[in-house]
Amino acid sequence: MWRRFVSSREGMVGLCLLLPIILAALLAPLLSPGDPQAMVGPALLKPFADAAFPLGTDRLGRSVLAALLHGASASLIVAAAAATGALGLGTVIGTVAGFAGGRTDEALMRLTEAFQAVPGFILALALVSVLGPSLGSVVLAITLSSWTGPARVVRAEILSLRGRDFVDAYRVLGMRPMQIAFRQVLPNALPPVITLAAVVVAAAILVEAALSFLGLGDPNRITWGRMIAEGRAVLRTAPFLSAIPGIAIIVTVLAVNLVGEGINEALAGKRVAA
Amino acid sequence: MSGLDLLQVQQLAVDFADAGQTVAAVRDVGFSLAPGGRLALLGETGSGKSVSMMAVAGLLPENARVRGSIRWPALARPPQLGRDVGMVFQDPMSSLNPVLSIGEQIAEVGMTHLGHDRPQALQHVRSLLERVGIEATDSRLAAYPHQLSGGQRQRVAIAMAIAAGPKLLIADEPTTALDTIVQAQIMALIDTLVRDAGMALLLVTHDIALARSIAQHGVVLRHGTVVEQASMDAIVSRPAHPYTQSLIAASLDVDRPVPARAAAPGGPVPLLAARGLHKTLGQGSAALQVLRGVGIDLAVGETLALVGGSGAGKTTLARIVMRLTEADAGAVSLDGVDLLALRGEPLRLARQRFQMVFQDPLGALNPRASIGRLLADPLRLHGFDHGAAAVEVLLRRVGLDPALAQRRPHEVSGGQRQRVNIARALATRPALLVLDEPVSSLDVSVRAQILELLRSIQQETGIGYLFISHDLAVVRTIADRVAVMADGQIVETGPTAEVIANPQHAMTKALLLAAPRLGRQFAFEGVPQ
Repeated sequence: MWRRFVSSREGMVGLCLLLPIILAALLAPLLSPGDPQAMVGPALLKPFADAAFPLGTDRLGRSVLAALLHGASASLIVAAAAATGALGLGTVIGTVAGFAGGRTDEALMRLTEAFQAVPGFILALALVSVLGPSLGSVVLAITLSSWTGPARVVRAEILSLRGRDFVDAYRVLGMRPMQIAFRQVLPNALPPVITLAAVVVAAAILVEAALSFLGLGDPNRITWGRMIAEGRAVLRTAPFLSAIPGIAIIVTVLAVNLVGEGINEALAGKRVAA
Repeated sequence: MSGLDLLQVQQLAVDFADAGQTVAAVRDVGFSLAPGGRLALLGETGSGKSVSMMAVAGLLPENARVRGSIRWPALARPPQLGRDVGMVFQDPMSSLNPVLSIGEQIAEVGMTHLGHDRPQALQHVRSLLERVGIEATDSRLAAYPHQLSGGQRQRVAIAMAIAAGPKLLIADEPTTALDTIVQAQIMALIDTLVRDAGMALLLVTHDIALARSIAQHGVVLRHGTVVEQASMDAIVSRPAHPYTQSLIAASLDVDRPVPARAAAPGGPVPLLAARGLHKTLGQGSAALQVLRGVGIDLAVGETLALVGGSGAGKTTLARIVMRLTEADAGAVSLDGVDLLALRGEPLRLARQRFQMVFQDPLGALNPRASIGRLLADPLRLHGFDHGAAAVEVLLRRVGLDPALAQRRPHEVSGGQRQRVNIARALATRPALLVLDEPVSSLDVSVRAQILELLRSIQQETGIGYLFISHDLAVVRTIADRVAVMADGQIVETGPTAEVIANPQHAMTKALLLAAPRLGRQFAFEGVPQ
C-alpha cells in the first residue's frame, strides 16, 4: 500500500511539503528557543534584511520566524486534535446509526441534520464565544462543527455492508450486534473515511485560523491566524506580516489535501472488491 | 452452402501484462466453427475458455497480448460485435443497463446496427420479445431490469444479442446464475433461435452435461491449453484424455446410480421439526406470501434436501430456522426445544448447536479478516480453546493446509473458501448444519470433493444436514430424504431414491426433466415455457 502511495505524484508532493512543516512545528522550541511573543528586536524590520531575524519583526519587535514556527505547532495541534475528535465522534455515530437501523438510526440522523443545518463556522464562533477563547474550546468547537460529514459517509458504507452474508454469518455465530458493527463491519467501511480525514484536517486548519483572526483564539498562544490579524493594522506598509503566515496556511492546507489524494489512490488499489 | 468455415482459430496465444510480469493465459488453442455449427468451450476456472472466447469477440482488456490467427473466412469483411456477432453474458443483472428500460435497450441495437428510426426500432423490439417468450406489452417494454426475474432478464439479453441478426451467437455461461428449470427453458430458447436463424453457437461453460444438450463439438481446455477436441458424443462416452475422464467422472448426473448409503441413526426426538411456518414479505398490494404453512422433519444424523425453483421459499425457510428472519406464524423445534421462543442470551448460547453455510463463499467471509481469525471467532464466542493449534485442527479437518490461516479470503480459491466456510460452521460442533446451495458456484471437480467432505464429516460426527439446492443431481448424491418446495409449500417429500424414481408432483417432474444429463440428448420438447 505504501508503494502505491509513493507512486502517486500528488501524494508525494504533498508529503514533501507537509513533512518539513510538521518537523518545524515539532522542533520549534529547539529551532527558536524562548517565548515567541518576547520582544527581541527593532520593530517592523523587513524580511531578509537582518541575519538575526530572517523573516523580519512585527510592530512590537517580535521575530516573525519564531512566531511562524511556534504558530505552526499551535495550528497543527488544534487541527489534528479537532480532526481526530470529529472523525471519532462521526464514526461512532455513523456506525451505530447505520448498523442499528430503525428508530435509533432515525433519531441520530435528525441529530446529524440539526448540526448540519447550522453553518459550521457560525457554530464554531458561537461555541467559542460562549466557552471563552482557549485551545480547548477551539478544538471542541471545530469538532462539533465537522463531525457530521464523517458520520454520513460511515453510515452509508455500513448500510451497504450490513446486508452482506458475512454479517449474517456473524449473527449466526452468536456475536453481539455492537461487536459485529465495530470490530467486523467498521474496518471494511473505513477507506472512504480515511480519505475524508484529509479534508477534515484541512478545514480544521482554516477554521482555527479564522477564529484566531477574529481574536477568538487562545490569547496566550501565537497562531497563524492571529499573526494575520495583527498584521492588518500595517497591511499597507508592512504586508509581509500578514502575507507570510497566510502563505504558510495555504501551503499547509494544500499539502494536507495532496496527501489525502495520495491516500485515496493508495486505498483505491487496495480496496478489496468482495 | 459454401464450404467456408465461419470462424477459424489457429495457434491462439494470449498473455496478460500485470505490474511488470507476464501471465500466459492461453497457449496454442485452435478450433473452427462452420456456419450454423455449435461448439462448446469446456473447462473449469482458470482453463482459459473465457479468455479464448473474449479473444474471438475482441473483448480482451488493454493489457492483453494476442498472437496466432483468428479468421472469418465466410464473412466478406471483419465481423462487427453486436451486428455479426451477438453475445450473451453470464449475469444479466450486470450485463443490462440498469437505468434504461428493456424496450430502450433492445431498440438501441436496431437503431445502431440496422439504421432503424424509433418507430421501426420499437416494432422490431416487440417482435424480438415475442420470439424470446416475453409478452410484448407496453408495460413490459417500459420495465427496468431490476423489475424482472433472472430468467426474464436473460431472455432480454438474448433478444439484444440476436436483434441485428448475427451469424454467430456467443454464450458465456448463460445459465449459471439461474435455477434448473429456468436453465432448461433458456437453453431450449437458445436452441430454437439458433436453429431457426441458422446461427452458429459458441458456448462457454464448465457444465459438460449442459454442453452435451446443445453443442455438436467440444473443446476441453485446461490451464490454457487444449486437452481434447472431439464431438460431444465422443467426449461424453469415450473421453480420451485423463483430465476429460476425471471431469466426466466428477460430473454429477441425476441418472447415475449412487452407492447405497447407511441409514441415518435417528433418535427418539427429531433433530429439527418445523410446523405451519408462514412468512409474508412486503406490504399491501406488493405483499408476497413466501411461506404458506411449511413443515419439515429432520432426524438426528440425517440429510434432508430442500429442492425447488427460485422463489419457492427455500432460503426464507433456512433463514427462519437460523433465526435470521422472524416467521409470521408457526413453530420450529431443535432437539425438542422451541427454537423460535429463544431470545437474548439463551438464543446466543443455543446457537452453538445449529450453524449455517452460506451460498456465496466469498460474500460469507469478512474480506478484511484472516482465515485464522475467521475460524477463531466461533471458538472464542462459545468458550472453546481458540489458539493457533485449535484453528489448525479445524483447517486440517476440512482438508486445508494450516499455512492458509494467514491468508485473506480473496487470496484463496473458491473451493478453499467454501472449505473455510464449512470449517467455521463446524467449529462449535453443532448438531445441525443448514447449507444453502453450498456447491452451486463451484467447479465440477471441486463440487465432488466438497460433497465427499460433507459426507465424511457426517459419518464421523453424526451431524444432521438441511441441504438446500435446485440441482437434483447434487441432491441425489448426498441426501437421505428430499422435500420439494413450490410456491411456498412442500409439495412432495420422501426418500431420495424413491422421489427421483417415481416423482408424483408436477414440480418434481419438471425438476427432473430439466436436469442436464450426460447420457442422452436433451429433451427440449418437454420443457414448460
